[in-house]
Amino acid sequence: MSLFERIGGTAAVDAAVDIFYRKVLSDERISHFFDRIDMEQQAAKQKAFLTMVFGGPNHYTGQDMRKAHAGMQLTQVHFDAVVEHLAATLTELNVAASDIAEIATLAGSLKADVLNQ
Amino acid sequence: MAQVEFNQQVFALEEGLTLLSALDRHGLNLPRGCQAGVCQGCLVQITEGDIPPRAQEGLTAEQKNQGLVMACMCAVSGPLRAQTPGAGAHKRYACEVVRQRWLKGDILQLCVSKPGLNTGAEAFDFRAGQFVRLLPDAQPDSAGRCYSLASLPAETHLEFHIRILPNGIMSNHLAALPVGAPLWLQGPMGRCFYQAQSLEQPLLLAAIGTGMAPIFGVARAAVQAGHRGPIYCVMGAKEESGLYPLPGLHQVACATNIHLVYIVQQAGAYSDTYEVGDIYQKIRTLLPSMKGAQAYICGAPSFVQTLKKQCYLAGARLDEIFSDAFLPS
Repeated sequence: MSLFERIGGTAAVDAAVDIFYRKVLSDERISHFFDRIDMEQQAAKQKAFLTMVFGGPNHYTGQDMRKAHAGMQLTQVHFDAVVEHLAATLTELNVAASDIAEIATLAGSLKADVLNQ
Repeated sequence: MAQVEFNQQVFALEEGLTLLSALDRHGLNLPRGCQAGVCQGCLVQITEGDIPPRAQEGLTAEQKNQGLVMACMCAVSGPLRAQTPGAGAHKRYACEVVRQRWLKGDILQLCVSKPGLNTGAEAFDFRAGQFVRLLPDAQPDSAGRCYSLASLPAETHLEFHIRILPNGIMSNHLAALPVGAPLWLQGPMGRCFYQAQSLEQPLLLAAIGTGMAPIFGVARAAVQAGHRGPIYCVMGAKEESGLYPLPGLHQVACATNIHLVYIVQQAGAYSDTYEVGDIYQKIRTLLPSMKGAQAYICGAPSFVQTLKKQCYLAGARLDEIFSDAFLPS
């Protein structure tokens, strides 16, 4: 069974987006990046992002992540904040610690693209 | 091969391919995103034909109702008629002016006949809280303006509350129409209509300005549906001149689960008839947690955006927040 299936597939992504995006918007370190952004559109992007790091069907690539975050002057602090919220979201959803570690590794592999390094 | 009509153009598409890639082969490159059935960047509207369930996975009930699908997940398996969402999706109906009455100062109550009622014409269906475009004539390029419906579907006419603006071409045109004058409407549009998951769910209904008409329509629809959970109906304005008496208020005011709040930012001469304060703060006090609650929000874009975020951060799910933003026209 794939990681994506183990977690609960699309339904789990929906539940995770709701919790994750709320955490992101409530965090002063990063919430200002989302001030002028349409919430529905952003939630759809979060859904695509979580599907990707959960190992689900997607066509997103490192290049897409690079393009989406270009020019935002993101730093390690911002990146860590997001990864932190991702892990907290998964813990809240009772995802197994080993699966959370696997997802964190997947998310970590995107760091260079997100931070434009 | 399946015969597929897209935006009135007919194609013979290879079965088994997705609608997105099949149309690609004919040089019609629809907008797209993840191509994995997630981002909804390639939504199209199916008006005829079978919809595979996978093509609508993750869409809201209202999107499904409109026949929206993700083209990247919609396998072609038979004849289809599809279009760009919204393109020509709204039919036109003829109606006529039944009554006009001033509710207050510059706010006109306009009642028009309901298309299809007691006539052979096509019936106009809508949900309380939706809006339509009113058109002054039947010309194909007639511009018109959007106005919210204040009436319930079961009523015999359609009611609008229209703020008459000093230089508003359409609003002044509507105010000057004699009883019996013909008028055209297009719609319905908007996602702010009563759609509670259960009769016990707490509801927040919030509006400023003429957003009060559709929000009040949602309140009436909820009461009529026998909603039992608490309904917080909050109507706000900058100054007291922004409030106006809502016809039919007595119908909902007697429901014990309705908490009706009028709130004005700056106190005026009649400040004993409403609360004075900040509408966002008031809502926070009324509903400290929005977990499990639904929110219906109508008004100016900045109000809608701010309150939407506030409700979401207070625990409401994004797909349980329904809003329509109105620009003054």
